[in-house]
Amino acid sequence: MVFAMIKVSWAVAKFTMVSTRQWRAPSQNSRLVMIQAYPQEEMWRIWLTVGVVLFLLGMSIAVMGERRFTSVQKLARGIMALGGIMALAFVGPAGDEPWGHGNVRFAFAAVGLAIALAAFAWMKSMGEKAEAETLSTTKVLAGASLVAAGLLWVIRAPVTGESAGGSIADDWQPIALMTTALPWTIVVLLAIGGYFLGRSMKDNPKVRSVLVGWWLLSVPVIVIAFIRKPDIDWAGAAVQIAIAAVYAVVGFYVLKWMGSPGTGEVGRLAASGLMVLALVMLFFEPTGDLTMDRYVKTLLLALAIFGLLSPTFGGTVVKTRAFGKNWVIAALGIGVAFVFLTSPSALPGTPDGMDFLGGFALTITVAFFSIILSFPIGVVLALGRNSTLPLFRTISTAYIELVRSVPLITWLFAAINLGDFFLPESLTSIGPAVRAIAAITLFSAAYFAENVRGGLQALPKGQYEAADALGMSVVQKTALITMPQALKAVIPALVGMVISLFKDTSLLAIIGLFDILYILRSVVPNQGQFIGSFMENIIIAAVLYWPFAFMMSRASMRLEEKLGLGSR
Amino acid sequence: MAEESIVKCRGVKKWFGDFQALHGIDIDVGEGEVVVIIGPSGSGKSTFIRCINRLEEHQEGSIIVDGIELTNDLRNIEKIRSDVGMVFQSFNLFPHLTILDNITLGPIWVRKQPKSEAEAYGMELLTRVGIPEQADKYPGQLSGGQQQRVAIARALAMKPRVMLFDEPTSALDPEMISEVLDVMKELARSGMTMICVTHEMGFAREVADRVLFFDYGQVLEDGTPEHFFTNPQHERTKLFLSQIL
Repeated sequence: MVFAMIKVSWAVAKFTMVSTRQWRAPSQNSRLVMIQAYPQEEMWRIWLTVGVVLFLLGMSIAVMGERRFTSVQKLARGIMALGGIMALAFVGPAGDEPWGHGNVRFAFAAVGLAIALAAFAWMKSMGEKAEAETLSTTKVLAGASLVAAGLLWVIRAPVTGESAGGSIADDWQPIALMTTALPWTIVVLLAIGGYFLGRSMKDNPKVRSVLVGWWLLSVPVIVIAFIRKPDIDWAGAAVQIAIAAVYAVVGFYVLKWMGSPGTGEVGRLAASGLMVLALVMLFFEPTGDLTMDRYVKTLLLALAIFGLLSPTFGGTVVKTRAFGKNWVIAALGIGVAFVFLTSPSALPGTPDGMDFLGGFALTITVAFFSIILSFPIGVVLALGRNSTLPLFRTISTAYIELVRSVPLITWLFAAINLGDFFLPESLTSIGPAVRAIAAITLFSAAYFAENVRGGLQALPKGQYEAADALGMSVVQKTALITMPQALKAVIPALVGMVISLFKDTSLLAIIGLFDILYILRSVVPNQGQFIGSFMENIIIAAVLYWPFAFMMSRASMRLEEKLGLGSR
Repeated sequence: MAEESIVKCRGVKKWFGDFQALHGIDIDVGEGEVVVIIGPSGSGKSTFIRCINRLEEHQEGSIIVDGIELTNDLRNIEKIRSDVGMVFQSFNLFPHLTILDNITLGPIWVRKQPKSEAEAYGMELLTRVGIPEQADKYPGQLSGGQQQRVAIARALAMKPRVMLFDEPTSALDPEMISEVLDVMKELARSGMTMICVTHEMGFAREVADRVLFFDYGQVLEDGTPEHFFTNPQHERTKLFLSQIL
């Protein structure tokens, strides 16, 4: 065992330290790898997005997470191990330095040794107390990220001299002055700030709903700030918002009527009629302004959905009014979203404004939207397949079986190449990134559906009977009793799906999108100075993928523990 | 009698495939009456009680609860179910909700009560069944007897006209049976209309107004507990009593 470990570390050292390794290939191209050709002057949009996400993440950790502690001894040992690994640079095989400067390797090793020794001294100085003394893990994490951000200001690195015949670094500067240290520092500070804000608000009973609201709000912010730069036609926007306002007011009174107990079954019937009307309208050829036509129909459909739900969530005057208020918010939200989404994007690319995306940004964007979109579709499909109504059951089963039985890559090709034959004329201008999101979403929805169905079938019959015995309607039974339990039961499977979906985005390379793997595998090794630097790049890709997948799996473990309280 | 009867069954028949589980049941249960149904397993007593709130569908005959006839009309079924409380052999609490949430779920979503009102009444009921201190725990953290008492409170929270008990003590340890039976006795004395399927003869003798004896999907005996235990009419009843007493 020990022998095997030595053997492996030797092989790793030998691989990484040999002079022919071009570690500068991925590091020089880090901007290309991360965001490909995102316009330079719009970079702040990316930082805004990262900052918003990290801020909310920090807050969520503070509010949702249990506080965990680690002992000084464990921490010191961890730091010692880190220093030790850095010090291993000493024992690497001799040869020219891959960084081009002989002293870097030894400096690196010396720093590692110093860190290890410092940690050892710290542990010893604590003596007996080292095991008992504890630190909050989040604080340790915050400290580490601060140190990392701080180091960017201290460490000096070679600036690329793009001299012919190789890249010899001539000028050494703090990394901070080169590119991304300032935004990174701000972003790390934001995350830590979010954490402490969350901590201070933790005891506020409303903090959770506020947090969920902010997360939901962050999605449109990210879309507007990061993917698009809407060029808004204000006159048109005013008309659209006015229409939304009319819908909001009229809808409020319609829902008030439908939801009040006195209306009874007539309300449910009217809601069904509205739904049928909205669905039929979808199939009519658009007249006049295409955008406006779609807009009006979407609002009508939303109103119909609210109408169907109103008998379930309405009831007393207070509840009906609250439900109506939700509708007003939803209608205005749809209005604002439409204004932003239908205005042309000022960022380069096709009208959907996503073609300039590339690299890791593309990978994350596609994964993010595919996951959040496929989840609700999967839940609906699972319910359909479990339904007692043959129509829903047949449609869902047919969809799931059809989609699952064809490889994802085929669907991706179909979306890119065959999409134009099936899409209406007005939508053929949609670019490949959006098509890929659609294909991945529809594909993984089928898998989600099967997982969720498994959870539904694992429920004891008594749960359905108990809900029935209380006189609950089908919607209430599903939303309050069966679906929460089914989803909880299949969290491990769902997270497995999410992780594999995240990694499956590497298939984007095959349909010609510049995702991270494509850039690292095909673009960088073809650059004049880094010809043939395949292996380094692939390893860097793995290193970049790993923390995300690992974080997801840890998050799911935490979630399971947290929800484990209510288990049977 | 006929005017006051809250559950009225006429010629109720039910088949599971080819097997006939109920051979025409005629029963009237009056307001405030406590009816205990006794019988060997497979006699159709559970099936019958589950027909009263449509967890099982009867094929022939009529069941009228609180003046509403059970038909395929979903509205009637939901109305009747919300007015008929049911306690199951296996508790069937919702494991993902706290005890108090289990109890207030029906009142809030089906009865559309304000949350504060529902919670106040829920706590009152928990006090009544003797476990107010468990309100914030989850069902998995409670003993069987406590869970069954919560299930009774959950059914009572809907302010039902009738309570159905389907072998409420059969899944419990002997020492937990009495705590559940005590709650049921208190309920019976408070004037609740109850139909209980049970094997607890002591309970039947003590609180029942009427005892029904079921076998082969028929009512073989229908009378006061005294009459049932001391002077059974039917041979099958005598045999059954001789085996259990």
